Amino acid sequence: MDPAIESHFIAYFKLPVWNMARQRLRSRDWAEDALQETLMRVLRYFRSGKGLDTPERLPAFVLSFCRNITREMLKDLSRSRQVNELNADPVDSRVDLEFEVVSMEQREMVHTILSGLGEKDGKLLRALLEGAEKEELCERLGVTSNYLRVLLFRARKQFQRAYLKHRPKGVGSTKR
Amino acid sequence: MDHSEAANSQAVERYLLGEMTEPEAEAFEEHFFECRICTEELTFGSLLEENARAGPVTAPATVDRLGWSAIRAWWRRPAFAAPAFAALALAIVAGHQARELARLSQPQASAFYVLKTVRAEGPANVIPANRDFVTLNVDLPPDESFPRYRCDVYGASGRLAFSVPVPAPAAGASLSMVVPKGLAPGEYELRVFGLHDSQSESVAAHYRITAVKQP
Repeated sequence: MDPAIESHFIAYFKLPVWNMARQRLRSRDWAEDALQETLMRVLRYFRSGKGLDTPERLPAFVLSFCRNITREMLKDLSRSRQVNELNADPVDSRVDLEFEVVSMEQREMVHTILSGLGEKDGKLLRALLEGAEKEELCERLGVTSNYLRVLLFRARKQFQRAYLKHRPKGVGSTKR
Repeated sequence: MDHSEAANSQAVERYLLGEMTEPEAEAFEEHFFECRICTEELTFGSLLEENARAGPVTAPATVDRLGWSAIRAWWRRPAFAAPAFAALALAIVAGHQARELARLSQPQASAFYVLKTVRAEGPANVIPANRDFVTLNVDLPPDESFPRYRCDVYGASGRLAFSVPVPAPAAGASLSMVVPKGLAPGEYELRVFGLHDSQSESVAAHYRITAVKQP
């Protein structure tokens, strides 16, 4: 498989795979493991000479691999995961997200945004993002799910603007 | 699901908050695997969440409780020299360290707990909360060993509470980790990573722990 095509494939699918794995596995570490595993298995499929009858089904094809892998990981959390299952040059096998998921700069941005929402809304959203039970928060503080969703939407949009101001090319397209 | 449906139904927020039914979530996943806009929107939501959980990068508030502002005002008086201020700061730190060292130097009773590997439906390992010098003992999978290990303990929110490097145990022996300051009451996850080298690691074992306040 042409290395340029492989790079393009990885660049295109790393974010959707990572997002889905993170949401399904609820763990940043496992999401990165699942990302590695998904992309490795798909690349291995194509490197073996196989193809797709309908190329426009490629996103669904990759998605099916990701679903299977996250299901496997959820069933078997205590085993070690070998990332590099291919007999390939180790330098090529590691997939890099090419951006820092957590960084001091981003933490400061988020803190500024949450502080700017006002005391009540800032605390509410911080509690939600840190994993507090949504139903319990809504009941205790007398807010609706829709209210929380709107808060999250506003914070996400502000974070997106702040992030793009520092990295105009966008997330996943600029290596630190 | 198409893009306008995703945008109009607040799909990104509902997906992140776990509010979608399984069919809805699958439909949104099928959509964002093909939609760069929704993928990017979702990524920013994920980054917001991860960085909020990591907490703000701020100076500790305890500095004010030491009356630091009063000390600063005193220091700014023209006759006061920087070396005297440094000596004052050193005396405060040294005093605290001396008291802590005296406490830790005393013989301590250590509680020893053997952890069981987590299963999705199984109970967590229960240990007493706020107890100093708790030793957690874990049996590693026999099919693989590593030259070094790292034990990461996460709180219920997913935030990393602390991380401890641990040398490899003798062949066939268990791995032990001492938690000197104890765990506050709550739910925790202990993940044991086997370190291949400085660049790569694998999850060797995973445990759920509940620290319970003692009467």
